[in-house]
Amino acid sequence: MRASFLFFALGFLAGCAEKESARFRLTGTVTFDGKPVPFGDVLFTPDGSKGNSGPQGIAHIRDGKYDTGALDGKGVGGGPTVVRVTGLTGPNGKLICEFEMPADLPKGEGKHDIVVPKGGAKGQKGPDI
Amino acid sequence: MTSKRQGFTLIELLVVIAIIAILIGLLLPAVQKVREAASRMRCSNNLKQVSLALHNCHDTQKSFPKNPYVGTAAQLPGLGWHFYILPYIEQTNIYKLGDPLQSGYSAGTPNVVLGNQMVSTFLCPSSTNIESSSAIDSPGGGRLAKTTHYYGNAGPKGTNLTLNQLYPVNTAGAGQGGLAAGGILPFMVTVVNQAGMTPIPAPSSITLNDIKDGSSNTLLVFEMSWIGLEVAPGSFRAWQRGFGWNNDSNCSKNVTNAMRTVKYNGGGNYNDISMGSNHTGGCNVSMADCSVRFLRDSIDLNRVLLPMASRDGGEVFSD
Repeated sequence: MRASFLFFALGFLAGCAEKESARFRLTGTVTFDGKPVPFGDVLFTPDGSKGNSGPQGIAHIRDGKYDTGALDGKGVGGGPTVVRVTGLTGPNGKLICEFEMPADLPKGEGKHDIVVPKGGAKGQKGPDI
Repeated sequence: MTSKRQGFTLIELLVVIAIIAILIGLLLPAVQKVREAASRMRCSNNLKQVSLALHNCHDTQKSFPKNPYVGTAAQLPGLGWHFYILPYIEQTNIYKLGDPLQSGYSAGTPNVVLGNQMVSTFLCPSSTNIESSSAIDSPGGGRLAKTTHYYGNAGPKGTNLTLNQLYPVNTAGAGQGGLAAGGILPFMVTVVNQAGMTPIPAPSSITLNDIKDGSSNTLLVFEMSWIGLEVAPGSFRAWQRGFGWNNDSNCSKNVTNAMRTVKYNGGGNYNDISMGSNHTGGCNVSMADCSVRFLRDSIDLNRVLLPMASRDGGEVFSD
């Protein structure tokens, strides 16, 4: 009798756990004009125009590589995603490239190499704001 | 002969002391948690005051504060809405120091000196960073200006899933991610839409009647104070600033990124910085009916956060 009450109470508690959509670790390289991008970040936004929704991922670029599992990174949700790359020469450095491109990411841990086309070139200091 | 025992033995005393010590040990970690809970309550009270001030301003001026963008060639950056609500939070004396017809932070104007004033209603007590991250709006003397942790909802940027079309965004300000126009405290209410869209006539300033989605369903002000934003190139600027020369919107932000995700990166994302706070698990926001809510940081971006930021998108959402 007491045990059944306990299970009943536990059943209620189980309902309190919050369901969060899954995040997957994504790694890869970022190149621009054939050369690795030294610094910056990559933002993975679920593509609403293709009906996708879920968590937004971010990763920081260090020496041409990114890893959403690294410090300050957040895993991606997968599916149709808008990938936004901001490449800099270094911390507080010159802006090399800034580009947005669509991608279809795996629904699981994966690898996605990013090649920023020439159209994404910036080559200037970010404005002083 | 019977002798009555007087007082306690040493063992009894030690047991009592040990029990008290255990109780204090249980209490101490709880006190730290209470402190954060108190900060969170103060923060939600600040948001309530700010929202009520915006409503009082609306009652007097018949619209929410306009964020002036004076002149097209000179692009004179005006003062932001924080300045215009000062009389409604009993800070008239600071209000009198400013000049709305002049630039928000140019050297030599009375407005740049406003950065010296710390308005505690604009600061979340859970955040230790209360200064501007840039020397560009310094009030002089090598000091950094005081900042704010509460930002107006300029509107969503992305795709409206209900209508399957893009949310309205001004092409002006594109250098920093554009200026969203579908919120309550946007910078430009005359909408020049993104390329390929027909311009939508917008009201000259936002009133409560323009909030077609319902005032209790639309974001008014949110917190942007999470730890990490101060890391160079920092995301904070002087509290009185409105819209600046370099397309930067300072007192209102676009809602386009998930909570606690995107910082200013020195490139073109200044207007798109994520909302978020140092409170555990989410951040405080206020809705256009002045109610203050706590949003979880796992909230769905495209299905909840963007619809919540739009004032007339016709979306259905539940959080």
